[in-house]
Amino acid sequence: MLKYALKRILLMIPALVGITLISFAVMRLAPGDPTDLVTNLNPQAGQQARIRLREIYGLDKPIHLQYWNWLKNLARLDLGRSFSPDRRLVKDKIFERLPITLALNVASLAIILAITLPLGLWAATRAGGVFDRVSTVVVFICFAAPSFWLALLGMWLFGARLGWLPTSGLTSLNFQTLGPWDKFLDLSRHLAMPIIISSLGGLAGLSRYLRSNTLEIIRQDFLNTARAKGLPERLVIWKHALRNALIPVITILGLSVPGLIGGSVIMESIYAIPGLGQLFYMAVMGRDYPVIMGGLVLGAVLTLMGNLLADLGYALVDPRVRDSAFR
Amino acid sequence: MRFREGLKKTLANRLALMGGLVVLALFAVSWLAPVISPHDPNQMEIRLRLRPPGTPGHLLGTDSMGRDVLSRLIWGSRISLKVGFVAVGLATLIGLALGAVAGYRGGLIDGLIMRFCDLMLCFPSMFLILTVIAILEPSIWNVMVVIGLTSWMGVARLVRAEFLSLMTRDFVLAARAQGASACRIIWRHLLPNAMGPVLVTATLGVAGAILMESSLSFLGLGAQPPTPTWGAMLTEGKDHLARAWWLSLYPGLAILATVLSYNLLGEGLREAFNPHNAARQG
Repeated sequence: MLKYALKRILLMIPALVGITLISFAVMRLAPGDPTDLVTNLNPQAGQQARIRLREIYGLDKPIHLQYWNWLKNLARLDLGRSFSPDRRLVKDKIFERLPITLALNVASLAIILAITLPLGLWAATRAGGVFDRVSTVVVFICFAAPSFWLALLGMWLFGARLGWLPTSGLTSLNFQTLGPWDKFLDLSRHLAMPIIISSLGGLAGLSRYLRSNTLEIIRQDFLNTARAKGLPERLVIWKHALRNALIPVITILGLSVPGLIGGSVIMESIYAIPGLGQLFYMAVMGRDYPVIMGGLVLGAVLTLMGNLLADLGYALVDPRVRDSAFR
Repeated sequence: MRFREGLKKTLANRLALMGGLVVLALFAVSWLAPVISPHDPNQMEIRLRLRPPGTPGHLLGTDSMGRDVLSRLIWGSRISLKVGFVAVGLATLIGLALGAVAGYRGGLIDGLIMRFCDLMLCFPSMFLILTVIAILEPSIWNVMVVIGLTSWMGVARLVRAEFLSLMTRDFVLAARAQGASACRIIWRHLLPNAMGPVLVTATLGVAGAILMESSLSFLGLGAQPPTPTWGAMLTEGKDHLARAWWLSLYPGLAILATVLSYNLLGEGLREAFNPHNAARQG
């Protein structure tokens, strides 16, 4: 197992190099260069200042050297300083926000799993029935509804009309004065809407997948064997079928990482949650290139890690893969 | 003929049929926009600001600048259609080209194309698209092109897989034995047989592209004002959430109906074209 994990991690290295190449290319192939922004906005910046800035950022060097220097800095997590007025290190800006986004996405994944597992299995065991059809339509509607629209409706209903939930931010103003339990409650009240709404869009993929997967398994011989030896149908489905249907879910969860991270841009912007998505959005609006670069690379790396975890998880739970992985 | 049979099966599926009809209706609405739209979508009437639905002359109310919501919805359908066609058309072309080359040539070229594909899939598309939009100017054309450039991977993988399996079939071997050129084999024998699944992916892709465009327009990075788009209309709705709920309701419903219809149609096509199901039913 350890050997397999090591091999998978080593295989990530070329992918990481590729990610940095694409990120670099996207930024450098664009017309104009990052110093334009600083100089164009400042009428006092003359040609001299422009040249000096280009030197500072290394833009006067040939492109492969620029890439190499950037890569060397990246390896030390040195992403430079933000262009925004606070001039802070990009590394600090990103890493102080990362835990919030990760926590939100993990919570969304947990909700998606909690809903889709029973839903998909239930629909599959009664394929073609009323429940199957209704649940299919409902998850499709959830998938088709734009998350920012649901967020707006939620803010209007639960925030403006009913006044049950706060509509923005992570904590209330008096957060520091609260006790530990009240702090937790306050956080949950702020995060309930963003987490639930961002998980709605993910229901369709997983529940449909589970349904078709379970349908396939139900037809297999080993389930007939289980029935033939007298197991009640309940056990046949919830034990034998479920276990086999569950395994590929890990892969789907891994694949849903980029969508969730991308979606956090919208959710965090609407609900004013200080996470990675909001930072990225603000960086895009302000053309804060160092932060955009950092966010882009980090987004891809997170996806890569998601895939790695999914692969390792797969190897852990599926004996067929596990055994070949040991070899 | 597999293709016609597939279409027939799709039409027999009630949900897919419904989706198809709504899509057709949308085509008609956007084509007839100048005729059926009750007002100029950008005509402002300052005296009639934020009127609720049911106001005489303004069936779905007016926005904060006194523009007719229904007219803006109708004209907004044009943008969503355009996005669907341009973005998905571009993505499908790129995917077809790369997938065909990878599947037909195999070897090193195949490996390179597929690794590139894997890498592109690593980037959250929202991040990639936002990055490019930040470098270029936010405009609806940029958005469409960028969505196209970042969503071809599914088609490429699919076409490659179809090609690999088709190339082992007898009719392709026969064509090859007759000395048909690579171009001819690809155009006449491989591509037509791979089009079913590509059509499915493209239909579902339209839904995704419309959602993405509306998100970007909502964030202010898509079509620029005063162009009426559903996403941008929702941005406005956000500013008047407490006073004018209708501004936040209708554009979202329009997006929901459109995306849902394309998805249902796509799923119907998928089920109809899936040889797995055909074997089961037959």
